[in-house]
Amino acid sequence: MSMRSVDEQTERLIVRKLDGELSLAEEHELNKVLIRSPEARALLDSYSEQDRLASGLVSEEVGSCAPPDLALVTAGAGSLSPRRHAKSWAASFAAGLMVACLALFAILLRPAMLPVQPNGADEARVAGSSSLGLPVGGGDRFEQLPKYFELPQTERQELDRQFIGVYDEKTGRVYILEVRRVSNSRRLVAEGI
Amino acid sequence: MVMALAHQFDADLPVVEALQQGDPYALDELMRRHGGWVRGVAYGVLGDPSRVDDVCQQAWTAVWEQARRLREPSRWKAWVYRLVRNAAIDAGRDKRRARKTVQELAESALAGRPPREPARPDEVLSEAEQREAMRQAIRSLPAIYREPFVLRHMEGWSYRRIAEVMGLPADTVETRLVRARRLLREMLRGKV
Repeated sequence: MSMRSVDEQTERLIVRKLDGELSLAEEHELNKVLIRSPEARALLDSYSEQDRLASGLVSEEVGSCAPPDLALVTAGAGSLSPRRHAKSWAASFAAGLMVACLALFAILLRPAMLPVQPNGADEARVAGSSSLGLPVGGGDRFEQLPKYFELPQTERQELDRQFIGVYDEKTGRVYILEVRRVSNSRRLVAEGI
Repeated sequence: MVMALAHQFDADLPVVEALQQGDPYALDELMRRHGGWVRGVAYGVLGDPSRVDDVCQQAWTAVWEQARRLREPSRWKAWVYRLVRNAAIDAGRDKRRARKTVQELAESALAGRPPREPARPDEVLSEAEQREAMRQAIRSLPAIYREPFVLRHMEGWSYRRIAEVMGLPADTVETRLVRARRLLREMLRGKV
């Protein structure tokens, strides 16, 4: 018997039957084919036998379903593959570079933001250049600047706290889960210079 | 209406949301409930049971680390599937297995099989030998066919459910399951 003697549509119907996916109409169609075709019946027998062997074997191969140790999984964060290390290294480098740029920017700008003193010497310095030699523009520019920075800070507020009971049919255990709803809002905090 | 609501309800969703809040016990619960098919996916990709434990641990670690970034909690299964699959592919790449194309894998799986004549009665193998032949055949299947085959036989999932998790059309899942059986039959011809 050659498999080629069974057409593809019949083979598909046989597989659907074994997988419990046949509709009533398809089952009727397959039954008609099975009655008149010994090759189709042989293929059905062959696939049934394969599935019987495979079902137990697959579970055996995959092994027990014991989950990994929670402590190992949560402790394993950050110690994964080299590719992840490379990614985290690049992210750290980028973050460090950004912080360095911001710090430099703050150092360069700080003299220009000093409050204007009414005496002439300061006015002359302000109108000309900063102590670092940077041009700083006219005196009226300082009036437009705020006298303090507004720094965003995150405020965490717990809105809701619930306990959910979950019954696991497999183990017969009841798990109590604590679910917290938290609001992270940003507020502005003034910091004087 | 009730049926529709029942279909939409996902009992795992509160657990996933708790996981997103950083609750380690939610992760523990998720591993208990879904450790089976996650192992199945790892085995389906690798075809090597000795590496399933390592891949699963790596995948669950990724779940723990990246849970906060999950934008659609309702599609968490497809997300976990991708993490497991990626971890398994990374592990397989170490052995340079993933470099073979599907065609090469299919050809190598079929290479050296016995001729297509019916087996003589004295050639029929014992049950234990048949099981061993089947074990080797499953391991030799190309990963794209082994993955749905394992999920179907281990978890008894429908085509629709497999398709949902794997992110494929149900027709594609069906085609792969047909081809998996055909390949197994070719490899086992005369043995089972």
